[in-house]
Amino acid sequence: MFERTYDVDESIFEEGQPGAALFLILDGKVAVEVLRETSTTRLAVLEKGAFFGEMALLDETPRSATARALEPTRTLALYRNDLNGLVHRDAKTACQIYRSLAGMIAERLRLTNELVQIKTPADDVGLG
Amino acid sequence: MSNGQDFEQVARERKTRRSVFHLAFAALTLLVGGLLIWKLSSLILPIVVGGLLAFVFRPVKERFRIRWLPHEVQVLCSFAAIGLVLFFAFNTLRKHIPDEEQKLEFKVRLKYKLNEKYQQLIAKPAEEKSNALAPLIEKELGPLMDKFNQSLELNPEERNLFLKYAAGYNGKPPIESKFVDYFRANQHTGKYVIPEKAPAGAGPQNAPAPAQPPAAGEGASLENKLSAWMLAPLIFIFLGFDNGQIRRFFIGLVPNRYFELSLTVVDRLDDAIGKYLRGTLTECFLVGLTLTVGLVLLGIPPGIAVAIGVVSGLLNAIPFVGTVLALVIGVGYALIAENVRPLIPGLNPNDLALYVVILVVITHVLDDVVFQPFVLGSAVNVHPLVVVIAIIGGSLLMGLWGMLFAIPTVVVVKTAVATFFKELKAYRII
Repeated sequence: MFERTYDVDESIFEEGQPGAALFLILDGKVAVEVLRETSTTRLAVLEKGAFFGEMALLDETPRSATARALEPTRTLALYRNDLNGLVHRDAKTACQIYRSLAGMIAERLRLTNELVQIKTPADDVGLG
Repeated sequence: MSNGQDFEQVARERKTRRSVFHLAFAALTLLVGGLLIWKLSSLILPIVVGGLLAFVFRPVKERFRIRWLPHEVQVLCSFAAIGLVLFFAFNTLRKHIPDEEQKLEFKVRLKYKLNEKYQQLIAKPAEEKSNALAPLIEKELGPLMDKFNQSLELNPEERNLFLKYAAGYNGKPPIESKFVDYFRANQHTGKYVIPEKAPAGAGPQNAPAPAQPPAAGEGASLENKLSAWMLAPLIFIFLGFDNGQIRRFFIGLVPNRYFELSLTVVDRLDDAIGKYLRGTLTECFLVGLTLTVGLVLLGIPPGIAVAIGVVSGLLNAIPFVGTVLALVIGVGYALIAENVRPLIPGLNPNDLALYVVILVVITHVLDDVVFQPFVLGSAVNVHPLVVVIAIIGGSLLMGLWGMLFAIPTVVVVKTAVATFFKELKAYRII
């Protein structure tokens, strides 16, 4: 785990970059935003105890959003290959981390689905 | 000016100060680092060797990573395992390292056998009127044989010692009478090339060179070298006890913008170097094993075959040089070997040296065609011309050690540059 500190408005990672680590907020606030053509949409503001960038632990696809510190922020970063190494060294702990990751991703997916359902008329919602 | 503008101004000034500080600090670090490397150049090699050993043996440490075991105990267990394996390996090898008596015996046998083979080569068969090739061989090989004979010549002290061992000395049984006969025959070996007459007035050709006084500070230099090499095991031990602190420290120095990039680059580099080093060791092992099995099949005693296999396998880490040295050691032994009974039927024991040459060639081809692609893959392919230039450059800069470390250095630099540029592009920095 690596401790990192960020200044106000400092970018933690940017949309489109390859992701390599998950970040856990120890202190401060972080905005998760996406840039669409000319406007920036803020998806969430995360505070102490929250984590972000979790998809980087699961695959090597580029970051889907930008994370920016809104105030002086201290984070703890977990590097993907360190977690992969933990699977061999301490499978039980790694399993617990993956389990809680899966639970949180499921929770976020559920919230996103609810958001989509609220914003989209019922007839237009489809799985395809 | 509003409060917002003041804040922006202060933030901008702070950013500029930070950039200037970082640049100044980086320049100072480079300057001090460069000066230290230049002044302490004798320490570089021991540090690199210690670091590489720690790198190679890291999988052993990983094997002892048990959750309930304290880290220090895990490391001590891995050191104990490595120590035990090395102890048994050295103990086995030591039995086959020739002692004083065997060295003298080998010299005598090699000189005798070399001259015997040479005489057979240039001898004119009775039924033939003349051997057309003999003068050509004599002209080309004669000077070489003279040089061999000169280097294999026992000095008066060695001659006395051999005669003592021949009669049984230092609690050892007497040397076989056959080898004592070789020793006597060697005394009458003449020169194959007659030296040209020296011009009148010239001084004696073989006048002994005046004795050089011992260089001042020679002892101190040796002491310095020894104390520098003490660093290698220390580096190995400290890196062994490291639990990621060094990596965390250096990653901690990297600016936030390059944090994930540096993690990825360091990891890929670590992976590539680890694969290369362990792959090279496996390749050396396979080459050594092939040579050992081949030599045993040719009838060379297993102990000697293992010793030649181990030395040639280790030297195989130096491209080209390894094969040549394997050839020299193998053929050298084949020339002095006696009463050899090949396990492969139909082989003539008198042509053992030729079989050894064929074996070394087969091993080299196997290494190029099967071992290297299978073990190392194509990830660290280096152009043969780069290999040759790197080896020559390494030998010019640091002698034998330079030759040994030339290719790993090229691989490290190549992988580092390729990974660095690839990741810089992926992170849209360039």
